[in-house]
Amino acid sequence: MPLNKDALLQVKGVKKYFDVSEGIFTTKKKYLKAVDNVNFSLKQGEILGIVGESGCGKSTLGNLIMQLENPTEGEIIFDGIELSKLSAKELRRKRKDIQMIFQDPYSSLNPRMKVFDIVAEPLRTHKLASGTDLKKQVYDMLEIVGLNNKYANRYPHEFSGGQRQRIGIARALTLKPKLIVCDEPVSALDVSIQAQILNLLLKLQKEFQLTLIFIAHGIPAVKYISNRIAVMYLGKIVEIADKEQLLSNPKHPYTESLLYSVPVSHPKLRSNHEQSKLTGEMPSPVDPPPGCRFHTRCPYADEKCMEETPDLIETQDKEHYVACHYPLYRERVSNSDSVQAILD
Amino acid sequence: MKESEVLLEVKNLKTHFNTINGVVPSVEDVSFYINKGEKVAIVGESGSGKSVTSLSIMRLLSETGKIIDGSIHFCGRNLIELSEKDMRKIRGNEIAMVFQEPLSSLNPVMTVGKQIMESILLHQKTRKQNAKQQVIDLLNKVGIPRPEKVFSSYPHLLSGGMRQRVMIAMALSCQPKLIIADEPTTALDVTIQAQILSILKELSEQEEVAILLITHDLGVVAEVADRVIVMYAGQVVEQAEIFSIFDYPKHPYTKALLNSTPKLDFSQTELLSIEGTVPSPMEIPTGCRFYDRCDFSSEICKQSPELKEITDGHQVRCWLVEEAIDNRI
Repeated sequence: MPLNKDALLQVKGVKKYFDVSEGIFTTKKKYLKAVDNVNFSLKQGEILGIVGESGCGKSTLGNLIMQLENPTEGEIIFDGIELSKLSAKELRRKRKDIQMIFQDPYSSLNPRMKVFDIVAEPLRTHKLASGTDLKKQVYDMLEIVGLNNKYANRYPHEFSGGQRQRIGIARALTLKPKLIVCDEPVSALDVSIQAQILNLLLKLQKEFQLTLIFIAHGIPAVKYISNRIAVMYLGKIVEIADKEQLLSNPKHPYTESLLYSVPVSHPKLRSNHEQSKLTGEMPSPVDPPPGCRFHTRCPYADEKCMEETPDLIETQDKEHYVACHYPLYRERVSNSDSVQAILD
Repeated sequence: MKESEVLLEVKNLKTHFNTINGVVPSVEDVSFYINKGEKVAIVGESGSGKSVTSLSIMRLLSETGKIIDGSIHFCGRNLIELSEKDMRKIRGNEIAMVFQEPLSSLNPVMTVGKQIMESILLHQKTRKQNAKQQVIDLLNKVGIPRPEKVFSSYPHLLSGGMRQRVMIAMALSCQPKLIIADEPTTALDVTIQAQILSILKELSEQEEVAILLITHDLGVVAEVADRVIVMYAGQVVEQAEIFSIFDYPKHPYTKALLNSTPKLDFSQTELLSIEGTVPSPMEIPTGCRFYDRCDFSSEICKQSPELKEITDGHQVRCWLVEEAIDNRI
């Protein structure tokens, strides 16, 4: 897909292979292809949702963008600068523009640090504030995420999951980053708290003009928050499009079955799509199937799918990219009692 | 409802935990029933007491936990009064349980087949050879490909979805009358969740097993249940047939829960959130337990509301039910 020149973030042909060879004397190398040739770009102020089952490489992709992991191949260009070419010192300076919110608010906060210090640490590390200024900035930030100042001297264990996630968000925001990677920020939380955090993220995104990458395994949460959605399967993006377009008119059979797998929102919609549910499980990324990686579970697959790997190409709908030899079209979808049925 | 149809009846169950910080009332005055072959769901957030309720039924509470009051009648017998020896004959045999995390509930050093066979040999008079065949049939039934191979594999070799299927096969092994499934799909991917839920539904229909499904996900409830029990802070706040819950929810908490669940629906432009958190069982407010988070609370809510039946089979614990709270949402 063409890459946008004035994008905030460009991911070009990025691959991440982990060496999983067994034995000392074997010469044959085995690789786990966690991320395999991923391309996309992200505009300033956009929210991109990345969905996929566990093991599809969505978290590794997040880590690559954060430079927590070095890509095996490919470029990650942020703000016009290729991150992997930077020296450690330059990278450290650049890092303040990219922050991360983690999935588990229990293990991502240092249990021996007070809330104030957790939120102040990024400012101290980058020497951006000290003394009363630091205090003011931290207190302001706590207020922005909806925490009372009087909690500043408490330790993380005194807070509930939702409050901890707010601390994590405050920490990510203190540096006023341009991009925040949120790796499943709500999956560990209760339903009523999930809504609070999603609404908080949306509010902050508007207030600070943030660009967000929102990684999740559930489509409903991603649908609520994103402008654009990318669907990943076994290390590859199989479909990427505008939210409405992707959900009402999915072109990849995997996207379609993911939508059908989402539990219904009302009992009257129960099991009217039983036959479209995915059978089987995702193959191991160490030994992915040849050709289209989805062919082993795809109801429409034929010989071509077993041999040729489809590229991610734009369909006749603008900005809607799909990696499938036989993308689904609206007629075909609507015949098989349609995604619209779930949406109605 | 005929009396003879009732399989399990829990009445005024009270379960407390003795901790160093004092007594924690986890479950307070919980009553419900399950008919033969019925699929009932208990929904609630963490800390609502839903898991403790299920553990109380199985009498699997840890040493600190104690059933203070109430009765649990299963097929005419009060489970609370049974001796440990008699209880053991019921567990796994007449009531089976499927847990959330299959890897930690399976024995890592025993093959899958042996584990399932264990409960068959324990509860039924049958030969080993027959038991093995039974296990393979069971594995087949829950949709495991190549059951002979899986029979002799260890749990770590299987994927999460396969392990959960093994757990279901194990639960089914003695043809129980009731399966308690405690968050059976929470640790799984959506596509696998859909598979497991359809297996549960199919089996309950084929084998006429009643299912008590414990979950926090209203989507899972909408997929499976016939009747729903909503719990909040250790109490049942609403109980009704599934369509009543989704079409005419009465308790403000149920309504808020329904509105705070993200849906695929485009008409949902805003996600309503419930402010605050579930009160800790150590500091349960007097009066209505949802008081602090409720948009409609008034003076009367400082007194504890009773669970009242408003229409046939629809019970609500809220003072404001008589007033038209429907019109205010």
